[in-house]
Amino acid sequence: MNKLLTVDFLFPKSFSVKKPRVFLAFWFIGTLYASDGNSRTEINPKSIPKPSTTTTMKLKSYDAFAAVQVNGQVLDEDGLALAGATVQIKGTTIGTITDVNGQFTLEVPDGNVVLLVSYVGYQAQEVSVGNVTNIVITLALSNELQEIIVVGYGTQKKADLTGSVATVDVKQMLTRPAADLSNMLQGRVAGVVSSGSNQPGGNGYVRIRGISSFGSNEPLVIIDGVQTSGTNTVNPNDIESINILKDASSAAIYGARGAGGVIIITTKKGVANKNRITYDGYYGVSKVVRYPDMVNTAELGELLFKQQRGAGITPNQPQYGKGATPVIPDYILAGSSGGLFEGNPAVDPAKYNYDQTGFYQIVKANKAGTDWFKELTQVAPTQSHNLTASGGTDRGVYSISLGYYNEAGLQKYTFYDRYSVRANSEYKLGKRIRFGQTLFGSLRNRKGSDDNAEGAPWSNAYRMQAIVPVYDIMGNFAGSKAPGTGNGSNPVATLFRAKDNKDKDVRLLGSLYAEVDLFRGLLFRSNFGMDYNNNFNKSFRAPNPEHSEGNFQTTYNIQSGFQQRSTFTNTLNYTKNFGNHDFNLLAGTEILEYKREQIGGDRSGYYPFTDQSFWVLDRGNPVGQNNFSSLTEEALFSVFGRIDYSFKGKYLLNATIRRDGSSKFAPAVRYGNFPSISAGWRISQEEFMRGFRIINNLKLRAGYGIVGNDQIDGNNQYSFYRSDPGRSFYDLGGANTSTIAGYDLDRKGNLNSKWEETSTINLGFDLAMYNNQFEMNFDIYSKKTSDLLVQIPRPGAEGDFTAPFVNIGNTQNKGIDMVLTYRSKASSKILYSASANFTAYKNEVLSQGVDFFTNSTRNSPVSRTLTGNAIGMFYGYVTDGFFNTVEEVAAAPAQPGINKNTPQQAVGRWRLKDANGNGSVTATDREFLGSPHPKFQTGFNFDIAYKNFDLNLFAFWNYGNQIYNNTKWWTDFNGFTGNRSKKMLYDSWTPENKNASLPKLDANDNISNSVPHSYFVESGSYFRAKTVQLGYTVHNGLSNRIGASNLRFYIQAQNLFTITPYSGPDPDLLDVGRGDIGLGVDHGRVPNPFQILGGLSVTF
Amino acid sequence: MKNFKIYISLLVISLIPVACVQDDFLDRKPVGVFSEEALKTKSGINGILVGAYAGLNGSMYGNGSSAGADVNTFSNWVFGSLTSDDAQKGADVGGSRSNIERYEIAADNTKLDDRWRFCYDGVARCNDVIRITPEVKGLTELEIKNLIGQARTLRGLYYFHATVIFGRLPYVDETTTNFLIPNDRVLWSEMETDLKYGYDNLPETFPELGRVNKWSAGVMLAKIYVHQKKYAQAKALLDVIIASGKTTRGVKYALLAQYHDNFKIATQGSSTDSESVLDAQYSVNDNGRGFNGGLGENLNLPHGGLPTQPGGCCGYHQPSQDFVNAFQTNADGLPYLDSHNAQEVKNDQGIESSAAYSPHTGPLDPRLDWTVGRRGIPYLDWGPHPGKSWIRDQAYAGPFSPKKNVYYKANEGVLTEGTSRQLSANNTRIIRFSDVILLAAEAEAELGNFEKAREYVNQIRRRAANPAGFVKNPDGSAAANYIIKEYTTTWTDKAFSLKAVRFERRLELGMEGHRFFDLVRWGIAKEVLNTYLAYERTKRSNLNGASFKDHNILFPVPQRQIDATKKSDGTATLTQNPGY
Repeated sequence: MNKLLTVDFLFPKSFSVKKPRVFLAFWFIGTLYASDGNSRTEINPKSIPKPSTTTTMKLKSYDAFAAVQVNGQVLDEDGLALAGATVQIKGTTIGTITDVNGQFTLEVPDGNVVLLVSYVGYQAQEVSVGNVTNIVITLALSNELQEIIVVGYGTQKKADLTGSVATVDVKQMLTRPAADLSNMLQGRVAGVVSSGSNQPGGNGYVRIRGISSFGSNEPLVIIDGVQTSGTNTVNPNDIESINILKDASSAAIYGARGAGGVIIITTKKGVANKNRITYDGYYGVSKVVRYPDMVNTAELGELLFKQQRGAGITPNQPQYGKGATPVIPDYILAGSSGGLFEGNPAVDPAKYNYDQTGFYQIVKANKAGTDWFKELTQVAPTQSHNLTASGGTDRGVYSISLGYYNEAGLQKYTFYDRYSVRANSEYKLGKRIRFGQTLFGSLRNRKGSDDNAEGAPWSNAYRMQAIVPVYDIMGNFAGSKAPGTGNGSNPVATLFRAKDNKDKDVRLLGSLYAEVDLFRGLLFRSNFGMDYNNNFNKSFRAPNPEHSEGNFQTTYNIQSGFQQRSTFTNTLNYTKNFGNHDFNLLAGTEILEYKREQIGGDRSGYYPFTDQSFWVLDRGNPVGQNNFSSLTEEALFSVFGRIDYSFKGKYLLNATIRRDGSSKFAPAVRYGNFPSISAGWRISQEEFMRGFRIINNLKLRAGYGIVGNDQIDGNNQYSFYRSDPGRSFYDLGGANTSTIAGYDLDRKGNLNSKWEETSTINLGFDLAMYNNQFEMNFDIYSKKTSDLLVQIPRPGAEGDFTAPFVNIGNTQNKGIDMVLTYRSKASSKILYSASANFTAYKNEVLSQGVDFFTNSTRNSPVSRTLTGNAIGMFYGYVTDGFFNTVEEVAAAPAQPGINKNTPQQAVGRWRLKDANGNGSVTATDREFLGSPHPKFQTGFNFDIAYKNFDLNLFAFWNYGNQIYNNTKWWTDFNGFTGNRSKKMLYDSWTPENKNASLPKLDANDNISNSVPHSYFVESGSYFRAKTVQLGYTVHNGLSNRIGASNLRFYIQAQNLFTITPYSGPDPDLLDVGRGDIGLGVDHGRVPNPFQILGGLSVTF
Repeated sequence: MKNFKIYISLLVISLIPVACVQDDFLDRKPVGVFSEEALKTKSGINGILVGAYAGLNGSMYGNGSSAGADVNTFSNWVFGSLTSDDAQKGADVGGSRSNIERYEIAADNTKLDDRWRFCYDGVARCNDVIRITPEVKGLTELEIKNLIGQARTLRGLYYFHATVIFGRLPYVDETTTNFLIPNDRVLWSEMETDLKYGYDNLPETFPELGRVNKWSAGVMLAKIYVHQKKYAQAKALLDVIIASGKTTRGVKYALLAQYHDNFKIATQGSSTDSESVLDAQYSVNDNGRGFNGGLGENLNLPHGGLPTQPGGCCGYHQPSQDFVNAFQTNADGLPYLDSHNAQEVKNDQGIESSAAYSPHTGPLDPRLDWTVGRRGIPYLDWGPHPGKSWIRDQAYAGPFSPKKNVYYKANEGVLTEGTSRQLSANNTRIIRFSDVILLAAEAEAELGNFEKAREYVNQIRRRAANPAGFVKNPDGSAAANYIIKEYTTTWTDKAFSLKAVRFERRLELGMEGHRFFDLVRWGIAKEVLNTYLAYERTKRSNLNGASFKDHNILFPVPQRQIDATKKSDGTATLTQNPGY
């Protein structure tokens, strides 16, 4: 479908017929409409003052037949002259710039030309000359102070904002193509930390102003007034604006759900009388470029022999033999034997048999070595096509878009496909009533894999030895069935076998609304929104006989269900002006209901019929079949209000209150009140500032508010027993194939659990200077979260059940958010802007008595949250050099796993630090090893436009966090039989290399990785050149010829390079899918790829 | 005026949601679950008791994978067998069980935490029954005693299961509300009280054979006496049990005619199963996703994956050479009590399955071939054990396979779980009657009644000597040179009597997870195990450098538990065992 669309669109058959009409339409629109169609433009018909001076400058005039001289003046909205504004004849390069009084003189061919007047920081404007020869043009501030910002249940002029609200530059954001917003947001907004998933269509991670809760810190996402979860619900190309409410004074209107901040997304709407069609598309390819450094086949043999000798054992390896040196065999498997050579009757291909009965696999050794990471990854194409049509009349506007997005995974056989459609419309009924709808529908099909887990394909790539090839001699998968090769799963096989599994969903997210102007200033709005998602997935477990623990068992599993989240909002909004006093009052109610229902079942025993035509439950063996269903419901009811008051546009005051009742809490503690107050002072509007012309805008802001967090399980208040065949049933009668039903405690509820409350004090200022060329936004905040909801690890002695979240303790986040922007031009043709945003926060657990461990690995949990420290700091033993001699072992404090009776064995092992100096290393000697929280993050953006070219550079710097690199547990130690790192072979302790990274090679050393320690902890700082985009906008005349008003091509590269001390493939690891108290542990994650792509954007 | 009406009606409309929202709009109760109130009925409380029994077949923690759940069960192969001279971890190099087998156990070892939580989950389930039963209306006094008696017996069992591993424990009962409890004592008296209650109050028989009855409570109590060296009390109780004890089905306790019937799904729990004192009842294909199958032993099947092999996974829990040697018998048909390693049972170490091999021909105790899988001997109905091709890494952990936990080929697909043939319905026999007889023999020997001890031991050997119960070749001939006889010489000496009783215990209960705890109980663990290591490491690379130290008689308290039980002043509630 996509292909057809593209081709038809680029080469329309009826092109020649339609061209004049399209051109005419374009011309009509062009005369009316300023280049930035998204913002409101006013042509100010002010009376024309006489120019006081007439310093005229003729910059360029190529037209020999110039007939008309136009004089004019360019002013800002306050009537002040704008010096240096560009006045250009549209569609040509003829133009001039205004003088210090904002005046200009320009010769134009005739009165039919359109002047394009632009000035940095202001909205460009087009003016038809007609027969007027003396023109005054008033430019409105662009994208800045006049910009309308979407805030909770309404809008505000940016100039009037008193809270901390960040606006995402959607255009810049879209230069990083991705299926999910979270990936695109990284480094774009001060105070927002985010990271995408590298699984196709996977969920990313967005956190606003750090984490303050032990539970979920996920921000509330609102799309066109519909509360939803996650940012991957929307097609990024449909987004008109993204505003992020960061502090409590702006987010408190969302009460109990605002503590994580609020992301308000508004999608594109049509503009009356501006009909247009836009196509955006790109195609690119991605590739993983940084892999772990693993040993090859010969090196592994060497390492294994060294390890056995290190353990005092004569080397004897199933594959590499028991000679003086390791010998790489010709065959690693024939039947059940390994380490075989050509000529051995066992490897006769005639013996090969892939059937269940008489299974006999023959696998050659990969003598050079399989690079499993390269085998499982692929060069992955991504393409995106979006077609938008919008427009309308004075009675109604519409915007419709079709989108197609397809992304191949970085791992073979994985992909993400999304067809989406958006239809937004609004109609007027008389003068007072407007109604409209928004609708987003998508059909998604996703094939990802596990990630960042020891069973994931990527992680199995370091568990598979290099000697194992991907395929056996007959082209079936080879694997760890070969003796001595461990129990890793061939990751290519895992991915291949899952290729026909389906994970589909259909999502409808939309709203219906009506607005009525009851009387002057009073607006009633009713909005009903729904986010409905129907998911379906099926998976087949295929035989995996090549696996060490493999078999011919087959299971088919099918699951389906729906989620439905309805939001019904009614508001009254009253705006009133009394002279210098501006009021805006808002009152509203909201009802939210969430429902989720799932069913599923599975059967086994499909072998030998494993192909898709047998994938129905009925074909499986009914013995041992399973089925289930589940239902979850949640509800929220709220009333809220807001007052905005402004005196002379200088003194701003804002107060909100919300009262929420949630089904997640017991009746006695069900309701919470969330107030906020904030104030602003626009100093730049004061008379005394009139003298300081270099300052265009200066506003001080201060706010305080309380927001809540209710992101806990809906059943938190309830205690109940379950009746679960696996956990509470027992075969009391000794029947062997049936059980007697019983009950066991499933959950202990807490009737007293209530909201977490976060109070934030926010101080900030917005400054614009030098004709708005320099801008700065600065916020400093202190965020205190009390009554933290946490599911603390309970003593095992209490039994096994789901523990409730309880309110304990409080935390503090102090931080600053800062944005600096500088825009200028080197000449009339070279415009550039540079901006940097800066995010820093410091997290601390304040209240006494908070102390718990999280983040399980193969060792005990490695993260500790303790009063006085940040949340989830890495905790463990400190390695303190090696035992270099027997004497050192004897003299050292006792430590786990070191046997002083056999000191020779301990030589070359790590010495653990006796931190408390009490003469033995025990659990009390553990120390904090690092923090998963970056000290700061900063994004740099640089745009430059020269003639028709534009260039965007974007870089991101993350500094000061640590990563617990748990992949080393597998690659640098004996943990499991598998492949090993080069470091283990070349930089382990020997008497000659006492300054090594790793302890002595010793096949029986199960100790060196048996406790969490400092070797696993590494710096997670990195600097990444994320985006370079070069665009070319086709000259108007040329694009007009094909009927387009705008035509732009671009090429770009992502993730050009990364500078980092981190030894793993990618330090961009914030989201590890283990919650916010499980941050920063690398279990082996598919890294961010290098990507190159080209795109096209055309508007008709 | 007209407009005014419109405004009013719109204001009213906007308030409708407020009016509509009743308090119950925010009541969203979970579905498909049971409140405690709802279970305060006769059938409800019986169901909670079934839940307390459900712990016997293991639980799933952590990642929910059956492969990691082997210690969350009543199988003691990890803590009681691979730690002893009976067996090794097996399989291949590495993993958290390797640290355990080498006595290099860090408190961070996840197996410890899994076992701790498993035992206490069992205790918690029992506590629920004991706490709720008195609140159930309409129960007779007898019914109450019955319910509480079963729960208390099970509680004693769960505590015992943790005690042998961790020693001192925090005591949690049905009244506990604050769970920050120090582990300041071994809970012998608490266990005794519970088991005595069960012994005094439980009926002898039940319709369901899986329940604990008067006699199984009594046996547990006697076992705890023996562990405390209260031999006189143990003897008194064991005498009654041996004279009058019955299975739940009312069958008088007796040894089964054939040794191997203990490990065969077909005979376990049958109407003639007189040897079962307490089994962990396993079941499969019962809608329980395999969670009710033999989780504890699911790694302990020959390595491979072929349909011609049982289970097809993992190859753990491999018998040691030392253990196999112990089954050699001398000219009198008796074991070499002092010198079982003087000569070795032949094995196929280093020999490909495709190469020729003939098994050991010397005299052997027939129980060997029901306990150990070795090359050339029929492996149940799977045909002769082929040797190396069923072993994961022979150079690492030797040539032998476990056998008692293995299911028959005939059971495949019916008594093995559909989604995982590693899980079968072959019960773990937590206590069987031969254990009772050997405990009695031990108590008698300790008390000086050597001849009584000999009588008990001979009773065990007599059953083993039943030729009908030998492993046989397809042609009906014995699979090896089985020679086993009773002790005919009078026992007069305590040292010898104890040695013989203990040796018999090793042979009879081998690979069943008792050995390590027996050695510790006898106070000879360090001596026996270091001797064993010195011998075995000449055969196997995995034990090089390992040694048993005094503190290894107990395992460390899981670090995770110590960390999870910090008091508000930051100090740990739980104390680590000495030496860790």
